[in-house]
Amino acid sequence: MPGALDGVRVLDNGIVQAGTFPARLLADFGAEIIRVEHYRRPDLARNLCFPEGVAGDPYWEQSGIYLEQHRNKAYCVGLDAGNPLGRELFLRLVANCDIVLDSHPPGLMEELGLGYEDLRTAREDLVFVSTSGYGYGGPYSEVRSYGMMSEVMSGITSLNGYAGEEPQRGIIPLTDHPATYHIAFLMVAALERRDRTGKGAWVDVSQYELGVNLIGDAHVARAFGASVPGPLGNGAEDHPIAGCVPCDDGSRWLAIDVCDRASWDGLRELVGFDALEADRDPWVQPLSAAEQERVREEIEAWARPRAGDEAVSELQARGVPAAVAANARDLLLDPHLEDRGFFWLVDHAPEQGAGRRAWPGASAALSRTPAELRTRAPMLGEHNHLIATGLLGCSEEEYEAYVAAGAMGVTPEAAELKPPPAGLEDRLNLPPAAQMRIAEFDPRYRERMMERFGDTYGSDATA
Amino acid sequence: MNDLLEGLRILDLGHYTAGPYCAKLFADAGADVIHVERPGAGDPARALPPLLDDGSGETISAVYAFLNADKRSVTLDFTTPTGAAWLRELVRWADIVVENFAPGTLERHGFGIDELLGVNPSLVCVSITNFGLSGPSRDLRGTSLTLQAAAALMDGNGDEDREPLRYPRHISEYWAGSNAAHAALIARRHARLSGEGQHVDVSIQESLVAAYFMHFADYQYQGALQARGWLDMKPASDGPIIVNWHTAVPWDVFAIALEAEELILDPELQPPLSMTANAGRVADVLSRSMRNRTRGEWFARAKEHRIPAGMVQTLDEVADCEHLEARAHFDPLRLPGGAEARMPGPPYALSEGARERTRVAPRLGEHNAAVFGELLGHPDGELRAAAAAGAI
Repeated sequence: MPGALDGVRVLDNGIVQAGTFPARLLADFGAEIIRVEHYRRPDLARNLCFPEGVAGDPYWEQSGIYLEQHRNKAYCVGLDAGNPLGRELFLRLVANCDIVLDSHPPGLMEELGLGYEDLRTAREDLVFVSTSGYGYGGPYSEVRSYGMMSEVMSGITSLNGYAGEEPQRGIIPLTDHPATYHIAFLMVAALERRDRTGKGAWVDVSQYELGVNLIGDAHVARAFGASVPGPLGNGAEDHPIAGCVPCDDGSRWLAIDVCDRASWDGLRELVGFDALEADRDPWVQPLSAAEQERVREEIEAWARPRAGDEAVSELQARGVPAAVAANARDLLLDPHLEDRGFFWLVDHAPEQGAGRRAWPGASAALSRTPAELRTRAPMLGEHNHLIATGLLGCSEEEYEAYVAAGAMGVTPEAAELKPPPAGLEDRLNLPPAAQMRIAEFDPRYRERMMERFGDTYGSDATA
Repeated sequence: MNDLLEGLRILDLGHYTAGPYCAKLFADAGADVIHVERPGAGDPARALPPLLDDGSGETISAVYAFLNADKRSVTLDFTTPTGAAWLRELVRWADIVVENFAPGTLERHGFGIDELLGVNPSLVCVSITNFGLSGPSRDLRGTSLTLQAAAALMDGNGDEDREPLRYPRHISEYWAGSNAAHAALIARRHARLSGEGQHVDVSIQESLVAAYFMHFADYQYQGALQARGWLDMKPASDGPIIVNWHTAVPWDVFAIALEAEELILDPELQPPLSMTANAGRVADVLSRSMRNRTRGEWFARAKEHRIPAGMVQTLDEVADCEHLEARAHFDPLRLPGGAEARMPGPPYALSEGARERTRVAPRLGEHNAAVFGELLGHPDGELRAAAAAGAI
């Protein structure tokens, strides 16, 4: 089936997350992605997540996170942009692409002679989209950052936490994940402008500013002199009851949000609100802290013995927004997402050590040109020969010369980057200051996945 | 606004946050956005806290002002005959319709996707709903809190032994709105080139899940379920800051820059143990040294040594940030009653094209005459009759 973005070619020079995921979004709808990786020091995401926690051989092909986020990208070229011939190759690739997506720290590609102005010499009407923590230009431009840095800068973190307590951060870098859609939007918008005007452009995304926009309403309020409350926990300024109570005998959390009169009446019908007068209207007379506590106790007494799913059904039947606080396993097994075909089963190459796995599918369902699974993630430099001799029209001799000069390659040189095994015991005992800490290990995970995705799940391409 | 999408026509039937944020990205990029609101109260976002004095003694929501600056506001009740007829005319005018009613609402009023494409075959209609337009959870109610719960976002936020936390304000709706914007624009490109319109079905739950992926691999590879929270902030003398070691920086440089020589002397406090089993001890050492200087001082050192860093800033500090000032991030914003202050501008800079800086939040129905009269060509008498009938 034709994709909406058939004929659009993107050079993906992004790394880790926000800077490369947008290319996947476009790939899902038919864009052809040529992923460039600097093979001597490839993407950090290649070091993150391995079957049973052990990096196999070659380890850099086996990160589940990498496989997941690069599915549907057609090609990968391993090159060394610091090598003069590698730079030449990079520019030859640019000449053949509509869009270049880049997420290296500002200054780095310029140092290699591959800044926007250099790229324009290869393709005058290029759409160049860069994303970085602080953007190009301005005093913080060259400060290195990951998503959590721009998140804390933006003010988001100052509003995140339990009500009345010090702010805290969650796991998600909020200027990475939500940013990906905005960046994909800008890639297509600049392409539309090119088609309209004949001119390329450089769109310089600052993830700090993106974070500021994600709470833009709070910044507007402050600017006009309104007071903005600090962390509200699970509450909202105009919701009399909002929060989580234990369900399933205390093993799960149930989120309940009274956002309007219908949900207030529905919850009262189920729980009673013995602590309050029968005609109490919390929007006329807000609940005191003591009343909130007593109401919460009533809700908890109702919810604790109930199975989460049943509690949600009872609440929703009465118009009360409610959901069990899910984890990754719940989503993989979720009947609703299954019915929507949200997860895609992807087969991998033997070197990738993954077999058949379930990765999240399309971000949106298009009725006439739906997203489709076309290919697994490419391997490092897998298409060096194909792209050089095909798209770029190199002769075999020319290709050999690139390889001999080290301009193209398939093997990282930084062997010391090989990640240590991350056993479950270790990870369960990590201190809260460590990344990749886990709360729970599910020994039945393979079984559950095979029940959900069929006997071929995990079946191994490595055999 | 800039000129990225100049000439593109967006009909924003959205209300509250997710739909209007989607349309806002188009307005920021220079598209002509008409926001259709209910006669009387208008978009219910106009009443969301916090409320601002708009300069004339009237109030306007900060949320509404932020999401709807530079859109044209019209009032229209499409359950009335005239309202329905004029909506059909607006659908013919539009390239993209954005809506976030509950599933089936537009269909019930005769504006299902088949009717819309009948009126305008190259139209893109993007529908943003809690759980999408199909599946057993389709009609469930949802709020920021419960949708973040259903998307496993809360699983990673909060303390281990307390209730999990949602992320603040309207982040999850804006997140879904930006998903809808990119998908709608992709479909629009296809429609422009092929003439074929279509329906874009965006689930808020899936929007959050699709971009939040790493834990699916972790579960499938190890049966691992993530722990909540990541205590990566360190206390400087005037507030928290985050600094992280990065493999491109030698460990010694990192330790000296942060005045934590202990991290060099003790081999147990070096990578990889510093990132895993001994991360807590490393954090303790850093926390002790970092109390001695301000966030700004550490931030300057991090910049010099290429150490990734970010200061935990308050809203006031963001408003005064020298970097945002240098990048001219904030735009002037004028409210309907004349009050003026600033709003965050688009989160990107463009090498090309003009940028109009002053943004204007519309009064309810401010553009009825311009849209129904000038754009659609209805004479004044018809507008008066429509108003009398409650259609506009």
